[in-house]
Amino acid sequence: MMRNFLFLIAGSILLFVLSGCTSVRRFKTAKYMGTDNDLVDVELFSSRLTGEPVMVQEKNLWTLSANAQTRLVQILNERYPDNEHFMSAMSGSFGSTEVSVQDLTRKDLRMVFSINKNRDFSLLNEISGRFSPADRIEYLNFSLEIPDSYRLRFHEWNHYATEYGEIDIANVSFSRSLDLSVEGSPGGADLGSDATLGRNEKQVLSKRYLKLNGTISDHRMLMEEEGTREVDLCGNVTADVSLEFDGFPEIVMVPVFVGTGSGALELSALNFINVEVPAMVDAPDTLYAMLSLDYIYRHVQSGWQTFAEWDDKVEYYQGKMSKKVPLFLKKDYLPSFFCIGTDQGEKHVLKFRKSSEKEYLLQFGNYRDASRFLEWLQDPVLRPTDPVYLGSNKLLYKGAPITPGEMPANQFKVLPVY
Amino acid sequence: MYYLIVRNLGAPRCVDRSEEDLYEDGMSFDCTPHLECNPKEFVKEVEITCPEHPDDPIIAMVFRD
Repeated sequence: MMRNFLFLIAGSILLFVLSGCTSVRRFKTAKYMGTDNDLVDVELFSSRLTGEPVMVQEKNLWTLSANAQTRLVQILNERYPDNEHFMSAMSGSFGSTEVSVQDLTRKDLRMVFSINKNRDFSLLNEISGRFSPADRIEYLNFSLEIPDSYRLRFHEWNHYATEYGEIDIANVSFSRSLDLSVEGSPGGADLGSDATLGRNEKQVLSKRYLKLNGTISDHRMLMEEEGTREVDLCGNVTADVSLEFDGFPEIVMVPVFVGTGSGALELSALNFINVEVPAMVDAPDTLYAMLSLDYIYRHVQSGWQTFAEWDDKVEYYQGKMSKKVPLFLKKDYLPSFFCIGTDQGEKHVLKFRKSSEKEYLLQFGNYRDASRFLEWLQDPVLRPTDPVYLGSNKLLYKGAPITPGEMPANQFKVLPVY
Repeated sequence: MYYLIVRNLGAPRCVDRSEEDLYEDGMSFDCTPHLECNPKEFVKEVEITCPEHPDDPIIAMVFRD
């Protein structure tokens, strides 16, 4: 009887010790210590635009399929036995394809946020210090806010990635969990085959995950991360989002040229395309956003000598910070339209009259189109005293019709519209 | 002559002109023309819309020569 009682006592003690020493525990003790805004910092160290829409794609030899290329080269070879004419014909274009996207108000933006914690090793063994190698950021909530005055808004999430995994999203909000492999090294701890963990513990650890949440509204995107055991949220977070400006209508001219046998360019068609550009009264050099961060910092006061967290005496701090960060540069959002004109003294540009009392700026979607059009205007084939017509539209300079003969004297050149 | 001038991306453009000052808040104008104008004296600001964006009012300036 006595022996059974001793076994029971010993078993109870063993059970108590095992339950107290298991790595399933989150910490030994935990205490909330208050606010410290200097423990974590966030930077938007990269933001770049991707996927600028192309308004018109030119058709030429190189856009054809392999079979069509072969056939076209054979035809041109038969038609132009002379080498110079043959080469000229090969480099010509024969039409264009309008791409359905003519909206320059939508921008795909990739942002890389860098989340850092302050590592002050000189405070390592100080009781009052707030740093240990086992410290980690346990919770993050950061947001990016665009001022209303830019008339710019978030449209949708495209992609969101962290150090621990990535997910593709196509909606305005998301909430998912990411499984982590034990073979990885979350929090810097090597949990591979050398780790002395029991079978059950491995199974538990393999279910560790990082929680990601994100919401997006017109002027604010918000990301939330919560790491479970040994997952430090320090690192880079990549967010791909679509942004949309309010639109302002523009008309852009797309000339289509064909090469002639003599090597000169001949205007075969003119397309007028309605384009939406960003609506903004002024064009500031940089557009800024407000980056804000709230965090929970897990400081290990003692017990940081082991990788396991069950023996940690934990002190929790919360903090926040916000800063103004550059989002776009002027060159990123200004449409690269070009016109033809003179800029000696006051800037004067070519326009065209579509109907009585309605004049429009002659502007092109790229430098090449404007340059080729200017070249065509100066072609001696055009009669020097006849007004220039673009279809049924008359070309104007300073409100009056202009003739090819007046072009050289005015020293026209290609100018940026904005 | 009165001129209606809008400004977008830092570039002003004259979108309408009239013998009389007909311009009032809430009116809609085609915003794509670039008319030849001779604005000399500022008259007032009005809030107009472009037909493509009836819900997005923009500030335009009325000048006269």
